[in-house]
Amino acid sequence: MKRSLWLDCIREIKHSFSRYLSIAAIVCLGVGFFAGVNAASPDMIQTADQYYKDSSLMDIHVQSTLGLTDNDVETIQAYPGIRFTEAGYTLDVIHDTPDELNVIRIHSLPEKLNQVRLIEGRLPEKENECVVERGKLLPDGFGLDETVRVRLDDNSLKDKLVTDTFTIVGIIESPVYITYDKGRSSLASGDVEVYVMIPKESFTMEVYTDIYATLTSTKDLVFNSSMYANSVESFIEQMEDFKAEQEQRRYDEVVTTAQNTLDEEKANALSEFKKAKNELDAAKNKIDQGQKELNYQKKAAEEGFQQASEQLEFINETLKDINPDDIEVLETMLPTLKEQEQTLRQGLAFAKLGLKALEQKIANTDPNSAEYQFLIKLKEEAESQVNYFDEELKKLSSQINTMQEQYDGYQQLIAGKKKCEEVLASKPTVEKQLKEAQKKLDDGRKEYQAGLKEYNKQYDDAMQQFADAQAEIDKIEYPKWYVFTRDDNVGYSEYADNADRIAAIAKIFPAFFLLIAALVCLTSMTRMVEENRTQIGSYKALGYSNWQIASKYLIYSGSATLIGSIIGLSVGFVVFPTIIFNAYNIMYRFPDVIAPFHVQEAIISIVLAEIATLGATAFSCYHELLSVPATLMRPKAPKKATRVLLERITFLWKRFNFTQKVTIRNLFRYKKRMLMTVIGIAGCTALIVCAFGIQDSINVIGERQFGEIQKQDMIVIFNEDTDIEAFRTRSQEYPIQSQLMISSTVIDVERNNGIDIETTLVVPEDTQSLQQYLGLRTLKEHTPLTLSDHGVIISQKLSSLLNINKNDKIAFTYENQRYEVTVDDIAENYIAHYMYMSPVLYEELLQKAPEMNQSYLKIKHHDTESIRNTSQILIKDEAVLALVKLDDIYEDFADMISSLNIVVIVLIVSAAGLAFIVLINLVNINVTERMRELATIKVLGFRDWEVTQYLYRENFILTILGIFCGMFLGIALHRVVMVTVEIDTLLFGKEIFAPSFIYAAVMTMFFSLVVNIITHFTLKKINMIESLKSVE
Amino acid sequence: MDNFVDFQDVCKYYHMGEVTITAANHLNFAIKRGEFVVIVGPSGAGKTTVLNMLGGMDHVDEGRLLVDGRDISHFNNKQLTEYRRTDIGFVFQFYNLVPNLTALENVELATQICKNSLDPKDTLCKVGLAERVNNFPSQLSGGEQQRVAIARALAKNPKLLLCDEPTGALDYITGKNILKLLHDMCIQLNMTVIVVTHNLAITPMADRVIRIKNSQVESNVINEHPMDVESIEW
Repeated sequence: MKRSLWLDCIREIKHSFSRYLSIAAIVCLGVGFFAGVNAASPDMIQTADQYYKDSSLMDIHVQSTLGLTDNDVETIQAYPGIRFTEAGYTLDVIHDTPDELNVIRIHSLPEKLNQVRLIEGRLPEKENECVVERGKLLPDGFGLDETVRVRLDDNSLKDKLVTDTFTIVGIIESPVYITYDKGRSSLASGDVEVYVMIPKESFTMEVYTDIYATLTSTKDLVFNSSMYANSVESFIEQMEDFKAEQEQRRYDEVVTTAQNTLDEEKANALSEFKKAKNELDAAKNKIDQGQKELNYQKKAAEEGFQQASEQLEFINETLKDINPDDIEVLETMLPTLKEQEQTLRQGLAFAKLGLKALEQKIANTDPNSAEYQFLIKLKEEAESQVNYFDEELKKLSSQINTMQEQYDGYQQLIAGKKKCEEVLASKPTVEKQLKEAQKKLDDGRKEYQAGLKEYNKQYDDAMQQFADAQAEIDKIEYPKWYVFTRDDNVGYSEYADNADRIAAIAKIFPAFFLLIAALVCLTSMTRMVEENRTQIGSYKALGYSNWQIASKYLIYSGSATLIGSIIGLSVGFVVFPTIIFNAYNIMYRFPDVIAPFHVQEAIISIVLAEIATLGATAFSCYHELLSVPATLMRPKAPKKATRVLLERITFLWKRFNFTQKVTIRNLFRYKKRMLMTVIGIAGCTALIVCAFGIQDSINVIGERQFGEIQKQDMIVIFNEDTDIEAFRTRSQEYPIQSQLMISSTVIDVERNNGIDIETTLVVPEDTQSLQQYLGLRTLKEHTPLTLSDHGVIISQKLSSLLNINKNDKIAFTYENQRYEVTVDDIAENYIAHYMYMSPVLYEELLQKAPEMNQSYLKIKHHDTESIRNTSQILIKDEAVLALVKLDDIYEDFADMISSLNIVVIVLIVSAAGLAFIVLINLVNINVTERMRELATIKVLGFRDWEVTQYLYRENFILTILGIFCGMFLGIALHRVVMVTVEIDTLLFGKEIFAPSFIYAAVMTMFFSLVVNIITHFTLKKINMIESLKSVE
Repeated sequence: MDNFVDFQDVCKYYHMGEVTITAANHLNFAIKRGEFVVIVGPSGAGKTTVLNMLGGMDHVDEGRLLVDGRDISHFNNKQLTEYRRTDIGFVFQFYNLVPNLTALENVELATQICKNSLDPKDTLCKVGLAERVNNFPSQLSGGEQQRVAIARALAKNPKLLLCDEPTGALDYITGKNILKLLHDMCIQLNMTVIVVTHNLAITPMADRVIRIKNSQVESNVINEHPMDVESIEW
């Protein structure tokens, strides 16, 4: 390109800088919006994904009905495919405050997985320290440095935690809680109000409550990718095996431990009882022995007394025969005789002694000697003497003996008598003693009997206890492992859905903006080329090629586009993802958005923008370049003014006043601009209509679903195998107005693409009163529907997904059985899919009675306080597994919607930007093109305002026209957006309400008014001298 | 008769960056009501400045400019607009018709903003365009377009008719016809007509000829015997 052409190009830019800017601005807006909104969804995903990865968010979360042990942890960790595992504790407690009943969920502070993000303060170091979530609207008492006291109503807290008081040392966010919904608890009113985390050491529970794990296969996968879902799913399938094994192991463990403990306790108790029994038996023996002895003693005593009295009688009888004098003689003689005897004995001894001496002498004497003879003689004499004494002594001795015997007998009698008398005298004493002994024995027996009774009682009790304990053990349910994935936390999937929705929106709106940018560029460049007509002619005359001449304009618009794109990209990549992310972050708790510069998208955006603007530029100079220089040098023949069609309708045309006629003429004269203006305005209106329409469509879901369709206050979900009738009886005491038992089961409805639709089958016990709780009604006329016994009613979205209408057959699978049934009617419904069936039909179809497992409740006074109170009462009922409060759902839903307001604002601001840029651009072109005309009418004496009106009237009509078209465009755009954004389980309202149209119209009018006010000042500056200049 | 238009020491300066150009240097002249005045001068002499000030299109920097007894030199924009609206009729060199309005509508464009306007159709008849009332400018010849422009100026029933080189874009015959028309209107409606031109040839037909040179009035001559347009040749 030649230097002069360059210079010309640069000067042209300088000269018409506002035009250059306007192209850059619309491109900036278009590209910024295009790229920014397109980047929002990937940025949302990336932000979340980064967060999950940084915090090592679990892929799998295991819970068990019987808790989890170290063995479970090891088993899971050892399983191939597991990357990391971490066990932890979770405990729901009640905040110990006098006035409120809030449930706190206590988690152990994770170390490896689900790492928390410290927002403020520090992490707990001591057993009595905790960190609390950064929530919104937390109950009082959860600030930094405050102390939280917790309790459990059954006093079991001390078995679970080391302390009941914790000091808050930090504020955190956990990736486990990405929404503000913290789940339900079986305590108090059921909602977890706040979660805190404490060190693992603060728990004293025997088993873990949770095991978290990450998988190796998901390490580098994006959380919402199908690869991720497949990886996790296939892993969970694999897990089934060892899951069963671990369940069995745990069951055995628990049962064995319990049984062993029980057996041991039982054995101990039994041995204790045996000992006690032995003691009792010993006591009884002793008592029996004692009794026997006593009885013997009694008998002996009686006999003794009897004998004594008999003997006494006998002795007395004998004594009567004895002469007392004889006794006296005997008493006197006996000593004398004994003296004689003594004497005799001495004499005998002496004689014997002499004899002995003689015999000795004899022995020593020679028998032949005389002496011997003599001695013999002496000896014979001595011998006869000894004999004599002997004889005498014998006689005396026998005499003494007799006498002694007589005396002794007497003495004996006396003694016997005395003795007998003594015995008889001791009788009362003995008898008393015996009585006492008997009493003692009786007491002992009594004691024994009481002991026995006590023993028996205790024994029975103990046995009962053991039996109970045994029953308890027998009752231990087989443990069930629950394996959760991230999908089980609705927040994660919901967030991904939201990102998808934004991506869907990004498909529609930005393209629209690019189109507008191209159109603006087209008009601007056309005008520019027109202005440069003579110049183009000159260049051509000088011999420049078409390409060289065109390149000036291409560079002009191309560079404007490039600059606009770069600004748009750098702003758009940050602003739109941030706004959209932050809007969603009202519901979620992610760290700040990661909004990188997406190079690929940037290049695509720039290329698209360049194609659009360069195309428009090429198109606008194409015609001029084809002309010969001579034609170009001559002023362009003014556009032939023609009569508009309307003029031919004379009767109508006559009625217009002059200015109206002028306006209409002008409108039809500048058709291209008119079209552009209308498109721009229509686009603006359409965006606003769509924005408000989105709000309407979603709001209507809440209002209708929770106000007009689901009219229950609460849904009670019963435990399995609950006695419903018992609950019904109990519930009469509850502050409930009415209730309807229903059977709610999940069925799979067949869809022709093979992917079944999960649908809730609702069978009410009574079809008549169902209408009080569920506003089943037709889609448009809202005629109430009743269940018949011949067919089912299905929800709207289900019908549209399946393309099933009234009287068609619908097929579904339940418990591996396939059923087919006629559709009676389609009911209005926005959230989830339902099939309603009468109990009669259910029984006919499934060959069994429907099992009522839920109850629709209406409470007496519908206010927050009553709902809270009622739910607190209900949750304590043994039959109740969970409560669903419709108000809560509605509130959650409303929260979700509120974030959409920001999307609406983004759209409106963009619409305003669009309107401004398009209008200002067009008005500017209009003004420059009609400068001469405007200057002339100023010379004619038009007042400033009249000059503005002269243009404004056209703009006004175009605006009205644009708004009108915009309404239809908006409806179409809204429909497309709604269909794209809608997810399978939701049905958005399709209507846009009148106020939305009014808002859109008013806002568009306002934008156009602002532009016209700006124009007014531009027009004021027009120099009248322009009118004197010659026509170029 | 009083001076209908009275320039009293009127000065006008244009500031072009550092340079100040004096476009009107103490202009002094007066025009009487009903006169057909021709202001002549070479290009750049300051004719257009005079016209601009007189037409209320530009402010007077110094001096007084009285029109019909009112001093317009101190008028603000709003007053000037009103002045243009009611007192001035303007005929441009290049007619400046609104291209997408018919002849009649172009006249109506002017009449709709005036109180004492003349009937547009009548005015068009007066300028001899009875047959072309519903034609668009592009369907009219230059002369016809200029007639429409004159009709547009006249229809406002102004006190002063200002014509900027009215024949500048026209051929000889047409130019003559236009001048005749202007002259006739001047007489018929007793209107003060000021024609600004560099064409000295037309001066003989004027009641008064003002020559401007170097931003000053060179002469202000009353033509006692104005010639008929037909007899003038150039």
